[in-house]
Amino acid sequence: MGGTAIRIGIAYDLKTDYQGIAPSTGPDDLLEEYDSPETVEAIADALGECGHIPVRLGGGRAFLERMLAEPVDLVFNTAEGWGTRSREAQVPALCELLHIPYTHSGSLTLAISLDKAMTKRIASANGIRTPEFVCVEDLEELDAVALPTFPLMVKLAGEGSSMGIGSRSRCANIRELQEAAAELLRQYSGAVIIERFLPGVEVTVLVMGNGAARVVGMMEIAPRLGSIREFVYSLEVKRNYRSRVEYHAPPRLSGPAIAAIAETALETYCAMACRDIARVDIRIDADGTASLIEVNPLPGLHPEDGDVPIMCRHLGIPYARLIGEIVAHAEARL
Amino acid sequence: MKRVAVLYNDDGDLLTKGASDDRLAWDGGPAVGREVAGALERRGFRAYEVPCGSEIKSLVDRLERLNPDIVFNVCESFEGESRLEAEVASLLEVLRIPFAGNDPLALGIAHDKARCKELLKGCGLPVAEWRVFSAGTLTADLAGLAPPFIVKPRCEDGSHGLTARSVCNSTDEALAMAAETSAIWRQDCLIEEFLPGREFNVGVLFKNLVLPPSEIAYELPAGLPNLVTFEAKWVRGSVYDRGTPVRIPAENVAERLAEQLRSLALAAWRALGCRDYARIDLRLDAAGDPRILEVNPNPDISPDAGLARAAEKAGIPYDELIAGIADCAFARAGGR
Repeated sequence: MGGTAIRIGIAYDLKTDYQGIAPSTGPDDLLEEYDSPETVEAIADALGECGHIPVRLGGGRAFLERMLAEPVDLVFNTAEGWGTRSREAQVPALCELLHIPYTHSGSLTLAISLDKAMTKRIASANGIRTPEFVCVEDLEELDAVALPTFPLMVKLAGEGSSMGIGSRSRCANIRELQEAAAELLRQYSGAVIIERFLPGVEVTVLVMGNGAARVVGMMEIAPRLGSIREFVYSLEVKRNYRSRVEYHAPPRLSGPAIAAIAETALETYCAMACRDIARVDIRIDADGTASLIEVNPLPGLHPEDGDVPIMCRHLGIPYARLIGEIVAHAEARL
Repeated sequence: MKRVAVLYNDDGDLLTKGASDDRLAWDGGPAVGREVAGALERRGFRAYEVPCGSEIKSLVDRLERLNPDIVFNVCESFEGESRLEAEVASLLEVLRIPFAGNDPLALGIAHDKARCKELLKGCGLPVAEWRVFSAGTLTADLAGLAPPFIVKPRCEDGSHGLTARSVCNSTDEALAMAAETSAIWRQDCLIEEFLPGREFNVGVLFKNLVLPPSEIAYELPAGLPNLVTFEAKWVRGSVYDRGTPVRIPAENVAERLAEQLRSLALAAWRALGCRDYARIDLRLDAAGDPRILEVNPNPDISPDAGLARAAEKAGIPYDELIAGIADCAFARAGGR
């Protein structure tokens, strides 16, 4: 990287910060979005390796107070925020108000991306292909809407990190859909989206940079057992990824298919005004076309289990280089 | 007694861009704050007027000391920058103070007019066709768009950057105007098809109470385009002020049109996930069908502004309007 050493504050929200606040009776993945201490330590170590001075700032109120007391040169943002649909905008908003540059996307991009329905609508207005869907807030609404054709995926509209996604998220008929939707609406707050299930290959794409953003790599996520035609990259599968999935980077796809995926990922990154880094999830439809599933401009960076670090291992990119590159892109805003 | 901090923008000397007259619009903050606080006091709340200027620490300290039950957020900017409107709402979220007024996501989307149009279009709702004129490359591809055009800054509120010259009759004129506008406002512009028809404002309140439409009844001298310019909004006695009277409620609205306006306003409100209060602006296209121009999730809520007057005509006096909005925040606070 070179350059001079700067003080980089890490903004993060640990699972343990919220265990006292989250209802103990809720589903076991209610805190899935939040960081583990290993992630914060890994980022701090990587920043140190790149010659910077890491400062642990935490999130929310603690972050604000530490920033007011002693500002840093740059904030490395992995904070999910708490409590609202705009939660991921909280740390970027504070940085904007305090005039401290920060890594990753701006507040509006982060808040929009957390809402899968809003993201799909904005993407489709930009000409980006994404599976047909409906968004419902209760079961009566489900009875009233015109559904896309089965099989369908049912997911929480406003949660990341595969929260609420399980083997029953793929519904072959109306009975399965009603049960799965009822379960999500009962256990979580907020709307659910019901989208056409795409039977093709699932690929996650790492895009980085600004101005001349580029696809750094892509990784196919394939089931170890069973057919891709029914495969759901659920939270359970993700938590047991070593035994349940095979990762292929690059994906086992033809040149034109890879090019189509890269194009969709880059278009999404630009349309959503992502900065520095984002992970774009894409799935192939029955007709071979690439469709946007979601974009994650604040992708998980757990050094072992995060999809982006896993991909980087396959691509031979050391963790410290990944972190260093995020910082290098953000440093252009210093 | 329930305690409410009324947070308003106080940025008289902080203006950093735009033309000198643009300062006029920013004087509105303290006045709105005073009106809202007055209404709350009359309805039995204890209200505190809290200015939001340019310093976070003093604002945080002030809110901390007051420790209000809720904030009534009418703040439209920070440091004179309207782009920080949503960030102030995020600050309230971080401080975990429930607040009346729209949330950061709704404020953020509405503030970025291109983003808002994309979302509405993606919801299948009618908007005027547009292109983004990039302040970086100073270009826009206007293929597929038909004149006349209107040029506006991508991220400004309160008719900033809108004059009679904003309406352009040719591609060249529109591109030149966009270059000028983006230089003054230091941002991208929108070049949009200028809709020729009647213009309506529809207020939506509380959970989803839609007010009857109001109309901007244009009576401008020949040659001036029908447009709510900055002058119309902020310069008393100007040609545009006198030529843009507002009919509250609108007259001669056929039942079918009234229903279209109503359902579009509600659909736009839902698309952004609005709450408490918002104003949706619509205009009729050449075929006479309404299209959504803009969503204002933090509109002027003074007693003499359109939203409050429309509410009053619909049987909701000012104090009741303000108390009703505050109650929305109290209901959310109770549900935490």
